[in-house]
Parts: sequence; structure tokens; C-alpha cells
Amino acid sequence: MLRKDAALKTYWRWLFLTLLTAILVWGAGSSLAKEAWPEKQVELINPFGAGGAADIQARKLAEIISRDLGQPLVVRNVTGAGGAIAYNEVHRAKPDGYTLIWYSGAINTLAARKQISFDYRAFEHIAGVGFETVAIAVNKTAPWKDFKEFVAYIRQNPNKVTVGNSGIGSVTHMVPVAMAAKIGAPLVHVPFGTGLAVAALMGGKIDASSQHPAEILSQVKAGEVRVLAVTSEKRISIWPNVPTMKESGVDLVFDQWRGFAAPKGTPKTVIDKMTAIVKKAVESKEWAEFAASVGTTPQYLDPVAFYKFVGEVDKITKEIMIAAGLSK
Amino acid sequence: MADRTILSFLLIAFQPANLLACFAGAVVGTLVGVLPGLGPAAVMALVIPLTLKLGPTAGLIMLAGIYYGSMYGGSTTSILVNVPGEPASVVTTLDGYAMAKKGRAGAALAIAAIGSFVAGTVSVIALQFFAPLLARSALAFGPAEYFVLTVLGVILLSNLTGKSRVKSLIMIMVGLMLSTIGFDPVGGVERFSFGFESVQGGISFIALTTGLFGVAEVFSVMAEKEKPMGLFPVRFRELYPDREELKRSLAPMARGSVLGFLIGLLPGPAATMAAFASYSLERRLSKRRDQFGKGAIEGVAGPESANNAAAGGAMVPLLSLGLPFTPTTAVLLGGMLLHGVTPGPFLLRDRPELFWGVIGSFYLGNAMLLILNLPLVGIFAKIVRVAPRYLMPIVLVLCVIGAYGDNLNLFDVWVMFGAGVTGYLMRKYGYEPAPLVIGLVLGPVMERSLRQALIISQGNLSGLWDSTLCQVMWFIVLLSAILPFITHYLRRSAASVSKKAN
Repeated sequence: MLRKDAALKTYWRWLFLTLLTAILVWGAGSSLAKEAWPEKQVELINPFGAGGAADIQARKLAEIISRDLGQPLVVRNVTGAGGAIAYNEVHRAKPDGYTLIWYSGAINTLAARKQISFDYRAFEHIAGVGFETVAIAVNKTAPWKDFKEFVAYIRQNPNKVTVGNSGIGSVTHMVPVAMAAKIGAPLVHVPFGTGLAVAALMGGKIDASSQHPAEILSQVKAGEVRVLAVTSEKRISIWPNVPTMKESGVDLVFDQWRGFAAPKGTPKTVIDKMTAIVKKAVESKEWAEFAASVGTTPQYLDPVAFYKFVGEVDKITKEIMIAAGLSK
Repeated sequence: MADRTILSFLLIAFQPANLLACFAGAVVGTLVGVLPGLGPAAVMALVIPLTLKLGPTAGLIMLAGIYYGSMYGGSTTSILVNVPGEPASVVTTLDGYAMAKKGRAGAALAIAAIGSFVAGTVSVIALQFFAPLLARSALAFGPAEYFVLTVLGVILLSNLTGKSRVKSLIMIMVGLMLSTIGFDPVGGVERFSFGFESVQGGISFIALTTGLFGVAEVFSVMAEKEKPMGLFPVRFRELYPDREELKRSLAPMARGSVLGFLIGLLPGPAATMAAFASYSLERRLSKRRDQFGKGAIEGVAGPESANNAAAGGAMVPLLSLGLPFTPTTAVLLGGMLLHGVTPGPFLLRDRPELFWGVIGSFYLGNAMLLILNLPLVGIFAKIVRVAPRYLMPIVLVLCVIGAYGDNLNLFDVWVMFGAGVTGYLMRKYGYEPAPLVIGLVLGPVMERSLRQALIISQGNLSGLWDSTLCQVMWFIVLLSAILPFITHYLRRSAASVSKKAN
């Protein structure tokens, strides 16, 4: 009887120990699994339409990043409402590192216009990847030889010159708004969808249009339109003959910025891993060549610098918006 | 010499790797078309990384294959179960589904495939020979011109099915009103969303159409008493259109191809509008006007040709000016840029092998799709013979997948059910859902272009009729608004005169 009891005791002891070990291993395993992010594909939510300037860059970069990530980084377009829908979705998403946002100036303009209930502080900043300038273009038959002449014309004809952009509140809208403020003569802003302002410009329906270089590359190449100025600090490599606004006497530097971010609360290990991979991709020769071909300037920013930078843009954006009466 | 090189470039499409890419694209495209909620733009964007490994020519051939393949498949579910697979196939439900109910599903499917082939081929020929010329004329359309065009659309399409003009107009207005939900396209102000985040971007088009057509149909069948279905054996030959059906379809296909191609040159929901316009045109021209809505083959042949031709037309501004006017051509443009190819007037000069290779693949792909789709007709047509108590739950599942799949949002599924109940009630009281769809499609274009035109003219109404093109179109608007009353009056007086003579 006794011996049977002892055997039972040993049995229970064994079972208990095994279970304990199993739990320990399981626990360790799951913490290991967190280290092992990503275990499945990672989604990069792009707030803008497939095929646009933002999209082709996201896709190219995603392709390079996927090689080091070990899992595919998949771009998903969640469009509408100037990007608000995408930002809401990522803001709401589980902060597990599997949902990232293709981050850009939209966060500043959406927040300034209160189209979303949060701002850049609601995101973990992973890395800044570069700047994309805004080009002011006119029809090939336009009478203005250069940007200076165009500015002089605007001064003589306040509230007359029509400038197309890709949507109210977009960076391509911010630029002409800020430009008008610097010149001291108001412009007429006409919002189009991406790419459609160029068609209206070519058809002679508007005087000028504001867009990213990628959206107007082939029309410039074909001589259908002329670019009078870009908003970047320095001239861009694909258009060495196009002056900056600063050179042309309008003290305005306002680029679109792009980068990666994740919802607040995403584990630090995940952010760190992603930051390193993005850095490598942004500094690769492949990206440098592609970025230059679509008129973008690669520039890696680490999470701290990136966060600070976005915060500064947020302030400037609000100022421009309030001055233009666009912010509530 | 030049011709010979073009021919040899065209034949690039026939190289084994490109042939395979074309076939794969066509198959994927057909699937995209058949499944509601799976749009060509989203799928093409997904496939882009894969095409990067194939190289520019094969990669672009594959993307193009998906693009026009999706236009083939769109009609399948419209005809079989009243669920439009693509917005451009909404109008096909009217007569396609009616034909299926009469046991002519096979004929409708086959005519849709043949019409797509004819239109696809016609539009490639037009693309090859007239692209630069036509692209220029598309630029004459600015905001003011678009606005007049949408007004013309509302007037001409208000009497789509020829039943009650008043009810039809009410439905168009409801559609226009629904289209204002969400952030407004110009000012970015949130409207009528009542705090629901899910409708900030507007009501999901796919959710609404699957509800109004598909779910409403399921409810109607549920409400009917199940009749014992006589299983009539269908012989092989009866699966396909007979000689008379083919003959009746030829002219609508030709007209639909030309009309669709021209509408396709313009930005906006061109393929959908082309299909509606073709339907309206065919009904007006037809001697069998009373058959429309009850299974007239012309009502399938015309629109299905028109939406395919519009897909070809949309390639014109892309290839010759580098301007993407539709979401799908925008993805094609993105794909090209990723491959290091810049579309536009210099594409032909700089990369002739690519330009002609892709054009060649259009010819090839269209033939491939016809061969692929015709045998499928036989299989699909049998679906109609499945008893409703088994078929309808499947249709409902298909609708749910479509509505959910569009935005991966459960809210849209509720919208779909709401639209289903509404659609059922509308049907009971003789209100048709098709004009509502027209309003929904035209609404955003109409609003945006009106406001853009007024911004450009600085609030001056004369901005809406400053150009000659606008004036001509306003004249047509006026004419088409007055003409029905005049003919009505003339007919009446003629009738009274003849009465007196008797």
C-alpha cells in the first residue's frame, strides 16, 4: 500500500515538474518569439493611391527592406479623406509591429486641420527616409521666362493666377499657400486629384500647377510643361537647371518628408530592428539611384532626430494653415 | 523597313516568357473580374513586386494582362447571380440576369466574352494608330467641360430603362445625395458621416451595389414560393448564342466599342459610364425597345463591349502623355516607373521594343481571354440550374465577401445588408437601382468639376459656358431636355389630326 503511495507521489512529482518545465519553455519561447519579429508579413499602410509618387517609393523601398526583414513588407493602399482613414486605421492597430505607416507630411496637415483626433505624438518614429521637393510648373506656352517673372506677374495680378494642387491640405497645396504669403499677393488654389492638375495645366485650364517631380517627369521630358522652381534647399539632380525658390528670391523651403512609423506602444526591440534595416536600405546604392530617378533626395534620420523634425514641421504647418485660414 | 521592325517588336509578345506572363496576367485578371470586391488596381499593386523580377517587358505585359482580363470577368456574376463583379458591369445585370432567368445564361456569357474581344481588339487598333491625336483632344476637357458632361449624363441616362422617368430621376438624385457622404472632394470637410469613421471616405460603392442588386435578389427569391424547377436538359449548342442572337449583337458591339473608347479617353469612372451610355444608346436605337430589361441580348453586347473599349481608351493618355486618368492606369504608371520606364511621347522613341511588345500583348491577350472564357461559359451556365435554396446562400456569401473585401471593414457588410433591404423594397415599388448607381458614380465628378470650374472663374457663373466646347454641350443638354416633350406633343397632334381625318 505504502509503496504504491510512494510511486503515486513520484508520479505526481514528475508530472508537476514536467508541466513546470513545459510552461517555462513555453514562456521563454514566447519571449524568444518577440525577439524573432517578424514571424509573418509586415503591412505598410500607404495613405495614398497606388501608382502615385508616394506609392512607387514605398514599393521600391519595401522591396529592398523585405530582403533583410526575412518576411515580406507588403504595401497596402488605404486611401480617402486626405489620408485620415489610413492614419486612423494604423492608430487603432495592435502595436505588435505588424502594422506600420508610410509616414509623411499628411500627419501634420491632417492634425492641423483637426481631421484626425491625434497628431505625430501618437506614433513611434522608426526612421526618416528622405525628402521630396515640390515643383511649380507652367504650360510650355506660358509667357513667363522664369520664376522671377512669374512672381512679378502674380504681384501685378493678385487673386488672378490659378494654381492647381493635388488636394486641399496636401503638401502641394501648402507650398503655393506659403508662397503667396511670402510674395504678398494671393493666388487662386484649385484642388485636383493626383496627376489631374497636370492635365488641366497642359489643356490650358490653369496657369500653374504644384506637384512632386515624379508626377510630372514625362511631361517635362516631352517639353509639354516647364518647371519654374523647386522648393528644396538645393537643386535636385534630375533637374540641374531648375532653380530653387530661394535662389529666385522667394525665401521658402518646404519639402515633403517621408519615413516609417508604428502605433504607440510597439515594442522597442521591434522599432530598433526596423530602424537598422531601414537605415541600411535608405543608404543603399539601389535606393539612391531609384530615388534620384524620381526626384527624391534620400536622407536617413534616426528615431530621435526624426521625431524632433516632424514636431518642427508640425509647428510650421500650423502657422501656415492658421495664416491661410485653413485651420480651425 | 520600319513596318518590318514594328512587326518584329509586336512579335516580342510571342516569346515564351512573355507569352506565359500574358497568360498568367489574363488568368489572374479574369479571377479579379469574377470576384466582387477584388479590384484590378489593388491586385495589380500587389503583383508589382513579382513583376520586378520578370523585367520590364514581361512585367508590364503581365500587369496589362490583369488590367484587361478583369474587364472580361466582370460580367460573369452580373449575368449569373445579379451581383456585379466590377462597377462597370452593373448595367449588365439588367438584361444579362434576365437572360439567365430565361435559360440563356450561356448565350449572355458568350456574347459578353465575344463583345469584350471585339472591343478589346478595336481599341488596341485605335490605340496603335490614333493615340497621339486623341490624347490631345482629351486635354480640351477641363473642369467646366466635365461638369457639362455630367449634366448631360444625368439627362441622357435618366431614362435608362424606359419605365418611369420620374422614379428614375428620383433614384439618380438619391444616388447624387449618397455620393456626398464623407470628406468632400474639394474642401476636405466631413459631411453626413455622423461620426462614423468608416464612412469618412464615402459609402463603399461595392457594398452598395452588391446590396442593391445581389442581396435584394436573394430577398426576392426568399419571398417567392419555391416553384418545382423543371430540369430541362440543355444541349451543348444551346449553351452558346444562336445565329439570330449573334446577328443582333454585332451592331451594338461595334457601337459600344467606338463609344467606349472615346469615353475611356476621359478621366473619372470612364468604364462604368461607357457601359451605361452604351445601354442607353442601344435601347434608344433598338426596334425591340420593350424587350430591354427582360433579356435583350443588345443590352449585354453593347455595355460589355463599351467597358472593355474604355479600358483600352484609358491607355491613350497614359502611353502618349504619361497621364493616368484612372486608378488602374495609375498603377500601370507606377509599375512602369518602378521598372525604370517613363511613359509619354518618348516611350515609343526610347523603348520601341517595350512599347510594341506591350501593344502586341494586348492583341494576344484578347485572343487568349476569348479562348479562356468561352469554355468556361459552359461550366458557369450550369450554375444557374442549381436550385435556389442552395444557390442563394452561396450568392449571399459571395456578396458578404465582396463587400468586406473592398476595404476589409465590417461596417461595409452592414451597409450591404441595409442596401439589400432597401433594394428589395425599391423593387417592390418599382424603383430601379441602376439610376441610383449612375448618380453615385457621377456625383463626385459633378461636384468636383463644378467647384473647380467656379474656383477658376472666381465664382463667375459664366466660367461654365466660356468655351465653345461647353456651349455645344449645353446646347445638346437643352435639346435632350426639351426633345421628349416636343416629340410627345407632335405625336399627339399627329394622332388627333389622323383621327379627324378619319
